[in-house]
Amino acid sequence: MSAATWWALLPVAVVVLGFALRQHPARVVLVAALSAGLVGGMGVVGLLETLGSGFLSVRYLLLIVLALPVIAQVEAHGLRALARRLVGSWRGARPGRLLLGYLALRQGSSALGLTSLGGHPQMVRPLVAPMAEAAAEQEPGGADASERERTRALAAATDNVGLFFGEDLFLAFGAVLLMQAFFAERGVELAPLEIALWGLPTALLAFLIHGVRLLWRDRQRGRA
Amino acid sequence: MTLMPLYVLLGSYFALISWRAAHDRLRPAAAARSAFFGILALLFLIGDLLPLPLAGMLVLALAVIAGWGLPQQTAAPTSPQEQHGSARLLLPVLAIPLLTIVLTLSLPHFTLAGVAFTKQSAALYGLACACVIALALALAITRNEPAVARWPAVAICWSRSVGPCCCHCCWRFSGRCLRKRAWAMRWRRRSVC
Repeated sequence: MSAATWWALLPVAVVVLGFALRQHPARVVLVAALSAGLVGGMGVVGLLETLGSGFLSVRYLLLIVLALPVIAQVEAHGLRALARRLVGSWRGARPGRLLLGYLALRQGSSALGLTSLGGHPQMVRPLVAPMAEAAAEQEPGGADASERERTRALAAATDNVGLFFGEDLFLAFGAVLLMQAFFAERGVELAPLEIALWGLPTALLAFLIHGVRLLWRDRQRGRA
Repeated sequence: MTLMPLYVLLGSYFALISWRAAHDRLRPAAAARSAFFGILALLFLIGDLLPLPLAGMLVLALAVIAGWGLPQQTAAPTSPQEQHGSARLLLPVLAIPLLTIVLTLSLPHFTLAGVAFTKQSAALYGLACACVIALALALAITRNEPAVARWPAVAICWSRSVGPCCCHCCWRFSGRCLRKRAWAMRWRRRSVC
């Protein structure tokens, strides 16, 4: 590999180092972007133009912010307490079992193209995470602050796994069409159905691995 | 279908948050928060009119403020209201994904002023409409003022005793409420639209 190739990896190193040092994500991304522009020889104006056009072209991603006032309103009137109460009335509730059910729902609905049926702002934060926390508190020994944080993280990870590996099974999903177009450009003709079908083993394995991880967590906590 | 109406809606919302943050002296880093949301509002409202280098500078400023200017968020303290949540509170939360799906599937069959919805624009318009409807539902169910964000761009607001009142009243109320909350509550009960 030439020296130029190694320099091109500088932004990746910045990202890895920044997160390893637990720096604020905005700082890490900013420094990585600046280093990428530097090693790419873009110049100041070129870098600014790239940043500006990049942001403006994906502004629509921030539309999910519109859900936040709704969540804030219902949370301020007791949604999280309600979620805890609902789980509290379920004897034998465990975070792993609860999240396993959510994983099945999330992955199944994503495979059908219903990716909006869930998500961190509208489902995990107001409902799934408080329910999982309440279930963790019911376990023998209860849940201290660090265990609650871990449970929240597990709830967020469950949503990620379900969505990421579920949506690849949907024929009309953008990534499937992107893969099809990528291979077609290189002379490999693939039908979206084939791509989706070959995503099935990965999706099943992801479900099994994360499901085992969830149940293993319950078991470990039960023993402790 | 262009996404500009959605950008205007979101930009107005960010402008409102910026204005509120500038007047909120109780929370730290008011100026930084106001600047952050003000820049976001600019990028959404007039981003297409800005020269790209200027837009890039604004994006850089956003990253700098987010990385160094804003304090770490902490969880809000639990209010007494939070201890008594009714099951109806689930309705607005569940309405967002369900309405989004229904609108995403149905909007491509409609045209607005002769312009058809593409798959992507239908999903985004579906999400935005679902959020607005869910917010109206949440305000109706809680029968209270918005907890965090006022919504003057949407001409629907429910007060505790009056019911729906007009956008102008909400706007006036939201501004005064920040300074004299107790006075505003009395004023709000008396407001007649």
